[in-house]
Amino acid sequence: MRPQAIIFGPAIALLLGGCSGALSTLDAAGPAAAAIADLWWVMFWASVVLFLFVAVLLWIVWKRPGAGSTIAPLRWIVWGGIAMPGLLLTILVGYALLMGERLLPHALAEPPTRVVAHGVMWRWQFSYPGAADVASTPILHIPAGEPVDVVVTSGDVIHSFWVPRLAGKIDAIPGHENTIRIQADRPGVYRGVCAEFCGTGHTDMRFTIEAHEREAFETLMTELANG
Amino acid sequence: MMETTPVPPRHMLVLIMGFGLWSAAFVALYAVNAIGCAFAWPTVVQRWVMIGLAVICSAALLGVAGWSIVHWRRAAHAARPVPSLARIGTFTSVAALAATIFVSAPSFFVSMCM
Ligand SMILES: [Cu+2]
Repeated sequence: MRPQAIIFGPAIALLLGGCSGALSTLDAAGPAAAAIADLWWVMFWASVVLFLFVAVLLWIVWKRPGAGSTIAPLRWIVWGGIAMPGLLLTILVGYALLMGERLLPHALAEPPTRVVAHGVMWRWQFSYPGAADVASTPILHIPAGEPVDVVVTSGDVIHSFWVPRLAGKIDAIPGHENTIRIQADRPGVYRGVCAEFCGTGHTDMRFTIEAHEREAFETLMTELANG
Repeated sequence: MMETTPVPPRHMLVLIMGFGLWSAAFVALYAVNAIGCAFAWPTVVQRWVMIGLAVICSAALLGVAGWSIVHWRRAAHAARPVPSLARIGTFTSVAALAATIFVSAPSFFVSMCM
């Protein structure tokens, strides 16, 4: 095997390995995660194009020393160093703001199901204000195919609620209620982690979300309420 | 004595004022956003306080940049040498003005609280 293959083979395998799996942000299973994945891809391809452009410029001056010297240095600085990044960053920021706006839990005509995720060192407790008789569960149950608002709170330090395939992260802050809107397009099991270092048990502060069909979710809530 | 032309200390001030104002605007906008949301200000009030802050900070920076540019032009006109500190100060304050407009623009249209 050539030395390049020994180095780049495993490197590429490692990189691509990060694109799938239970905790992959790029393997989106709902609209919020899909919006974030799209933003990531936009930034990725923009950076690829820019990198290639600069690489080509570098290659040209490498092959033909003095190429481009007919253009005044100030012009290079103004167009290449201010105008181009200014324009690209403005477009990227605008796109990110638009995406961010779409991810916010705006009021809906039909209010979404609300669930509570309470973080304590080092586990999550999930409760259901819509089903008052249901005590907390160690697994978060949600209806699939519709938006769900997760109210995230903390009993001690700052934690962060993160289900990579369904949405972005949101902090769990003591004395404060943060809301994040998630949606699982299909029923299934999704995995979540605490995304804010919160002490020695941080790594084990994982949890599971189960998305059910609407009727199955309601049946489950009734069963839980009846003990 | 190596240097005989003294550079007025206000040029030093211009150098730090630009991005000092920029960071003040940034912190003030964040603070008003957080405080307004925590105390449930009416959205219109909060929006206009933020817009006001953005405009005041941009105007202050425009003043600093303008003063710096006018000073430079006068020196050039009188065929006096422009201290490099003054030149750097001009570019810095113009950059700070652009940065302030850029970071405060979203306070005109993005959602305030959630
Ligand atoms: Cu944690």
